[in-house]
Amino acid sequence: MPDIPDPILIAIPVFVALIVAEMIYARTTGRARYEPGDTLASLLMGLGNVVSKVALGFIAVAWFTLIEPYALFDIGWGWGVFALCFVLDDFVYYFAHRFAHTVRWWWADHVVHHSSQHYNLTTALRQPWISPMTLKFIFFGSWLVLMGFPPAMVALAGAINLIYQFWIHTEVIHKTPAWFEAIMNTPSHHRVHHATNPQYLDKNYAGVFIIWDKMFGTFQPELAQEPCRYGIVKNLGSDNPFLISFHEWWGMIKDMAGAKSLREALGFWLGPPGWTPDGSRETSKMIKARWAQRQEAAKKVSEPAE
Amino acid sequence: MDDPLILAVVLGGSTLAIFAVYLLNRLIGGWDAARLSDWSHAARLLDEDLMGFRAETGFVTQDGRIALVFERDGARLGIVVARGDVFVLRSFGPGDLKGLKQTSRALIILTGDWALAKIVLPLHDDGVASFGLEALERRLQPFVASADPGGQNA
Repeated sequence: MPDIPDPILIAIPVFVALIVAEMIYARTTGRARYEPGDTLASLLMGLGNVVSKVALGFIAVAWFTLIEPYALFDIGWGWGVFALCFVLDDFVYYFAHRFAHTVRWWWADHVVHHSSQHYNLTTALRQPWISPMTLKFIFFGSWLVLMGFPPAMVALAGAINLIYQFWIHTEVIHKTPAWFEAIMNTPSHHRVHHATNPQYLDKNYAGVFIIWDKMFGTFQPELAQEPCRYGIVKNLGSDNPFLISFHEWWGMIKDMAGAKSLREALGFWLGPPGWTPDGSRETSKMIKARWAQRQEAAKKVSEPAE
Repeated sequence: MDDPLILAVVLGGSTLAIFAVYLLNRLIGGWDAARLSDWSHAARLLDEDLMGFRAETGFVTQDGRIALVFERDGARLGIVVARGDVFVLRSFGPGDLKGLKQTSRALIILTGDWALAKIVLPLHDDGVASFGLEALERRLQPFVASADPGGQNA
């Protein structure tokens, strides 16, 4: 195995430099928004994420060490192999990310990243603290290792994927060249992903390549007439890192504790965010359906009677 | 990151960098505290976010940081609160609020919400006064949970 330094450690000073640059650019042009409380919260979430990876990373390492002997092939190291691993890892990322939005157990973790009402480079670093505890890596991280890609290569591909996603958390870049927008995930595509406008909900799950969203029907371009409103459907209204980190976990536990049957408890745990047995809260599907109804009604009103 | 010394340096350096970036953000500014122009501004935000919030009446506090908007037929109470440079919205149905508390200085709405647990409305506030304290309490009462073991409802 080649001796590879941790790319995220190398990237951290670059992240900080780019954040400072964007902040100053925001101040001089007004093309981005930075608010100190939000900035501090996002950065502290990022620091906590690094600490948790150091403290809890052994869980994932132990799992991959356990399953590595059962790999179908011994693929080994090579640039061509790494390129293939990177593309396949991004493919798996798409589904992992999609499930992170549609299964409450994983949403409770991922909601942290969406909890800011701002969208700037610090938002990229607003990451959860207890991700390894969700065991998502077992369901989505095992495939490539079981195929025979070395775990260290899969980890490297994952790290580069995350580094790529840093720069797309910005309002400063409007659109990139058309060919790039067609293939790659860009600031414009990812702004849509972070928006709570009903037509933007549950769209653009891509990590690096936007083609997965186009293939699986979840692509939504950013529309000039529909500016993004960032955050979550019920915005938190707090910069407290502990509240940001654990509010959805607590909500889920409370709901499960109050469930009247095992089916209800499972619904609160593994159902989509917003699911309730009586429909008293709304899932994003329900919000989108209501929005579509409203659009239809507005269209009927604006159309002249025949 | 197996070496504890390297780990300590990375974490210590990161913490310092974080506070430096935060201070820079405070120093250079470039953001304004969010303010509501009037209660119809809050009503527009509620309609946009909650889709179909049919505002009837409401008020905004004189600093423009809090608005209460009542929906037609008393269906929902919309609360808009400014936090930094953004607004946070909540809606409550009948019986959803934990309680109302009145002190010599303020009317306090206890929402039961983690982040917006208390909405403090100063009694001397122009917005509250223009709506009328009695009218406000009367309007709020249906939204307060009937079971109130603490006895703190107004």
